[in-house]
Amino acid sequence: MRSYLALVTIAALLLPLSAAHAQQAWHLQDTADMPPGWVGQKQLERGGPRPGYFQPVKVSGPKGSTIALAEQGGFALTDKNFALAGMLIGQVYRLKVTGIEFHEGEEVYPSIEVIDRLYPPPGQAARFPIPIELTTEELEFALQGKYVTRVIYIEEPTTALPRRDEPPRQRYMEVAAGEDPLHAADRLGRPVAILRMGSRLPSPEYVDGKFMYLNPPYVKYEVAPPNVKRRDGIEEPLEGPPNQGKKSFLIPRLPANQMHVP
Amino acid sequence: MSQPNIIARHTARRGLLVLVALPLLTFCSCKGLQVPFRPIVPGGDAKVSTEANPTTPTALKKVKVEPATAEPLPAAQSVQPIPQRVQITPAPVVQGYQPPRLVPGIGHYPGVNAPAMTLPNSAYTGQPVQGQHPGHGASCPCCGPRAAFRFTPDPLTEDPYGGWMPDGLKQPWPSDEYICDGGDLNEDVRVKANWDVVGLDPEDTVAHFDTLDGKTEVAASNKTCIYAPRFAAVRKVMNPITYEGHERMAGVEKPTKLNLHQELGTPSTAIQPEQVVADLHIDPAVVFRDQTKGIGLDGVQNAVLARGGFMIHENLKYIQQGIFDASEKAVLAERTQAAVTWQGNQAVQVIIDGQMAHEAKATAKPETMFTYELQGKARLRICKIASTCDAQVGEFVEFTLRFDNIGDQKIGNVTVIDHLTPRLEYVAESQSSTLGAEFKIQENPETLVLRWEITDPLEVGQGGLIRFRCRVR
Repeated sequence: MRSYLALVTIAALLLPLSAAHAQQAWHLQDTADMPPGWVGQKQLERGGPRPGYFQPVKVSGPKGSTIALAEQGGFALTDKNFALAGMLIGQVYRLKVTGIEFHEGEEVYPSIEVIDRLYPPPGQAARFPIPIELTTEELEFALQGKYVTRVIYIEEPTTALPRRDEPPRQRYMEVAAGEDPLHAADRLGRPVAILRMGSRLPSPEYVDGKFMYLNPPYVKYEVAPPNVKRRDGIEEPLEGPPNQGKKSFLIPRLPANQMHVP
Repeated sequence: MSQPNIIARHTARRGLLVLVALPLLTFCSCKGLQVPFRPIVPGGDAKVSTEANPTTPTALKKVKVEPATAEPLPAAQSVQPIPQRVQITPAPVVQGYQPPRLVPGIGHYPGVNAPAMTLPNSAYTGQPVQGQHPGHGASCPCCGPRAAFRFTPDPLTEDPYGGWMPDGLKQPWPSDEYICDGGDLNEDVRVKANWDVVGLDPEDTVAHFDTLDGKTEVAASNKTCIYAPRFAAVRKVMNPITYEGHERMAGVEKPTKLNLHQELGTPSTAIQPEQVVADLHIDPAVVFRDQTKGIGLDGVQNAVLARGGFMIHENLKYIQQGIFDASEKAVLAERTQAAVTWQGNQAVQVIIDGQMAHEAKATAKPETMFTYELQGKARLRICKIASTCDAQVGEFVEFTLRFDNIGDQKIGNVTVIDHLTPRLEYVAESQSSTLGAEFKIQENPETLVLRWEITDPLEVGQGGLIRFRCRVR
């Protein structure tokens, strides 16, 4: 009987802890060590307006480097050090980085997994992409054989660091060896993307498409879209749909001083 | 022990196990269900101690603000002729712009190149089905084949869910993508007898004033939200072990062999350890308190009454003259709510069908507006608007505060206080006021408090305008 009482006491102590942790963490059962695509697919299972939405992501590298996205089994030719693309949530995208300073001829193939989306105002999605920075230091780590995991998250504005950001430089925090970066990012904000980078090169399985993660579709922006400002003021009223083949009844807009205000 | 006792004890043990296991299973299995486990609730639910953020005027930096020479506020706009109906035009296309293209993938992706998971037509969603008119009328823009106004020249990048948000949640959603400023977060701002303001949380914008009957009242402004998400990263670098080898000695070769050797010697000297009689050490400081005092701000700020006139986003009678015109209600709602009205793919519209135009009321608003029949009460109305609804990091935002005495008695010692969020950085010397005021800044470790103490009392119907500029961090 005493052993059961002890068990109940321990459970009673653990339950509020697990509840409190659950209220803080969204990715309680996931870690950044999961296979690429796992966390994103779990997010899709939760429902919401995620499937089929192309979340803009901007990947920027050091000066002089080139970043190419996988396209139809290969990599597009480019000379830009950034790539702006709308990526699906739950899919993994392979990139190719070349032109690394002091490492000419060497290539790094990082992968990006988008696990959440933003909800920008209509027409402003490309203006607020998820920024991912590939630093020279991390590219060198990858070339040395190390494995770099970077979890990008949206900062909570009420607890944000009161310090100016200098885009495209991205602030980051390094976690200890035993800590999971996804859980750390979950505590600090809302994780939206995971970047994994190592020294893996295309192998014979490249032909099967596994290296490219089956080349998921994406929306490619050749240039950054212009900032089309929404017109100020009240929008013009829409014309009503055809009234069963009859002529539409056009209603002129009354100015403010002719509107009846009780 | 008798048989019934054994059975009863066994049943009790099983019951305890069920009581323990059931809650654990519930918490562990909810993640697998399509139930959002983390409540997405914007700030404002937790109660904060009223003593959390005292603001002492004596610690503030003072700046005298002189009003500009009296300029009459612009008169009401002359009546404009009835405008002709304008056809809807698509968003302007910038020369040289190359629209994005869809790079097809290999395989089937639901919602992209394969049928997405959708509800059957018979499912009830509360929305009218395309092509049908369930009582909305012939001029309803939400049904019918006519597309709504397009906010982007690229139809490929339009959100297929069109401004979806979970039901029953307070806007703006999601709250971590917006910077809000204004209102009273916990509705706990109080003014003590010694003029200390307590309960002022980050993002609060309030005004307190004294009435003729000796009371000190607090009025909060509306909340203005700007879409400005900011990102950071967490990094982990791992160095995997690629080689592991074990080396051990195979053997030891000792050509020389030590014979037995024994020597006995009596100790001739001994060292007596001396006991420490005193232990002196210096306690290092493990904690220190550092108070960074505010830097004095010298300079006389001459308020320029609406430099060069009113700004583009202030083209409202409510802001310029303090007169609330129902025809401006939609635009005012758009400015005060800022990003909230941008959630959906539908523009703000006024539909006239031979009846008075009215704005559809929504329950999810960051601010609330009440109209009272005032009988002998003092009231101060304060309204806050922003110049933009969205901003990237590094861009500037102009805030305008309009305050009016809408009561029926004179009020004095009007003080407008704005506690900026950590994401907003006040641009020095960018503030201005149409009334004479003393401007003060208090720097907190992470935030900034702006304070305008209006010098003269406000007569009934009198109002003023305050402007300042902020940079989005």
